[in-house]
Amino acid sequence: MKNPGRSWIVGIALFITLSVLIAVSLNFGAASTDSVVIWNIRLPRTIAATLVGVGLASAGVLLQGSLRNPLADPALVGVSAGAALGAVLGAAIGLPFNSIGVTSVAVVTSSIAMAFVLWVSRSNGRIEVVTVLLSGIAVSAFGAAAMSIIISTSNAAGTRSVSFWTTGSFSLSNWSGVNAMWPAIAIGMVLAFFLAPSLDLLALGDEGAHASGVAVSRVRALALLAAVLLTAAGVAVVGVIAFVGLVVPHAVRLVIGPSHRQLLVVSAVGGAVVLLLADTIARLALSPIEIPVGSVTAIVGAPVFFVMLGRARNRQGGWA
Amino acid sequence: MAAIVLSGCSSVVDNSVASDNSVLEIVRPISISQEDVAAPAPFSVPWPVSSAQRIVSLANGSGEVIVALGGARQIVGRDETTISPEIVDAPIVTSGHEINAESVLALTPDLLVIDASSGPQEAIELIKGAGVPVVEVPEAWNLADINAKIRAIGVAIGAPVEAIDYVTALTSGTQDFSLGSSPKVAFLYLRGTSAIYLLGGVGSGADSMISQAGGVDVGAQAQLGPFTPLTAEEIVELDPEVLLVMTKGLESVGGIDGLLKLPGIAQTKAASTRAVIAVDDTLLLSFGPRTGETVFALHNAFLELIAP
Repeated sequence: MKNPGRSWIVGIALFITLSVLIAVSLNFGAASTDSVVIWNIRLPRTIAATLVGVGLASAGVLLQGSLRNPLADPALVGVSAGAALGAVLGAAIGLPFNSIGVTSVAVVTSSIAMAFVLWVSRSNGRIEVVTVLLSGIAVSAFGAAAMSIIISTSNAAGTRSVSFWTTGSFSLSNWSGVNAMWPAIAIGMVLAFFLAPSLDLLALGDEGAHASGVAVSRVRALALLAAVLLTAAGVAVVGVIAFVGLVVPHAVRLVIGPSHRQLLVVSAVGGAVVLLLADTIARLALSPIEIPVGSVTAIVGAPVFFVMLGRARNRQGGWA
Repeated sequence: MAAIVLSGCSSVVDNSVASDNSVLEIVRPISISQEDVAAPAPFSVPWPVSSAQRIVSLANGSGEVIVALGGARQIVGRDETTISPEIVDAPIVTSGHEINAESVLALTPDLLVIDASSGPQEAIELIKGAGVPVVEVPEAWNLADINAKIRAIGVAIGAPVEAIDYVTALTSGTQDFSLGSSPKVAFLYLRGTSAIYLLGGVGSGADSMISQAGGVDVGAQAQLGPFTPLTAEEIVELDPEVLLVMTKGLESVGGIDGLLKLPGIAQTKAASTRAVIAVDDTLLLSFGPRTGETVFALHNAFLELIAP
């Protein structure tokens, strides 16, 4: 383990950055700043971006730790697509957009997607790194196709276009959106915090962890459930935002080391910083036109993914 | 709902307000539908034999122009926005905004009327290649251009001069209304099911309708392009007093309550008074024989909304 003092320094530095970003996010925009604009438009949006950032980065930590897969990200393993499909399904059966009801459906479908990917990727008691990603692609494609069908056949008011779900946007985030996501994210974070020490032991491999007294299957199932909660709540409100869950935990791990409790907390703050920064750029770069925030994270995140893909490949000696 | 509008502070006990019957009669949005705007009687003198006999009419608003010219019986195909009762039995040959060449050719037309917004180009080329005469008529996105469009359509289909004069006279007399204090109006193009929320600006078409009816189009005033993506911050900054939408667009966002919940919209003056006008989708931007009446209906809606 690296110097534990380092976690504190990094954590505090990120926290200060987050505070500055929140101040910027609340004070700058196309409208002239007054209390109505801050309270009803910018504050809920800022909180939504912060919560989703916390959720995605933490979900990334949990997925990478519990699957022992350095390339796991909620969007890459199909969890996000499962959640988006659920949200569209919820809207199609008449649940209001930005509601706990839609979030709940998203959690259910997202869990199904996660369970499916896991089931497909198991081989001789191992969960294969590449198979997880490939199944994730298939599940995501299935989800997008099913969403297209639902959207084009549904006349329910709440459904949104596939592009809204696949590139993510905070432009429709209001207080009901915040209320629809925070409970699940809070539960997910508490769960994650208590599972973190077991995830450290899981890094020893399933047998090693079992020998150390970890109930491997239960810990893994709970960690994946937490990842689903943390992801699905955000996706149900803002759509799929890729790469945050992948890049943030990696960057944090490089600086403070792999101990999961610190990794989780610092990544959560880091995720909030990254997503709030991305949304501020999305909102202000071409103001008054907004870029979908998912495009901003993907443009930065995709190149990072390639680098990491290369590394993971070299470590395993190629996947031919 | 109405009670909340009146009591600016919603914590006020609303017994007194609810018992006031006049309040409960307020219906929002104000709707302007097909029934509210009568189509003019068609010109009824027989046409020359040289005129087109099998017309497929796909230009924006060309169907109702041809009907007004007295050519309803010559129309054998139409687009889905043309719903004049005289020609509603003619098959639709577009899906969305796309022309289906095969459906057009199956009708063996002797004239296809299109405008610059028609497409795809490949389908048009295909129809031309099959020997069908294709006429592109000028688009009209404001009141001043209506008569040029009507004349072009009239000449293209071989309508008698008297018919063309009759139809152009219908809109030439459109009054230019003005109001003591012009309401600030935002035109919103909404397709909630596709997450499309656009704000109208200069050249949306609605800008012309709004100013003719005595309002100020806030998007045009801010020099925005015809349609820009609506952002919460911008609509708050423009702070419209009235929201002008199309009926189906409003339905797609969950009606007036869904609309007034959208971030930014919820904070406008229009939201606080529920000042929403919903105009039939085929009426607002058709720029044809019914436009004068539509302007009048819009003007009356403004009057109702700004009444003290």
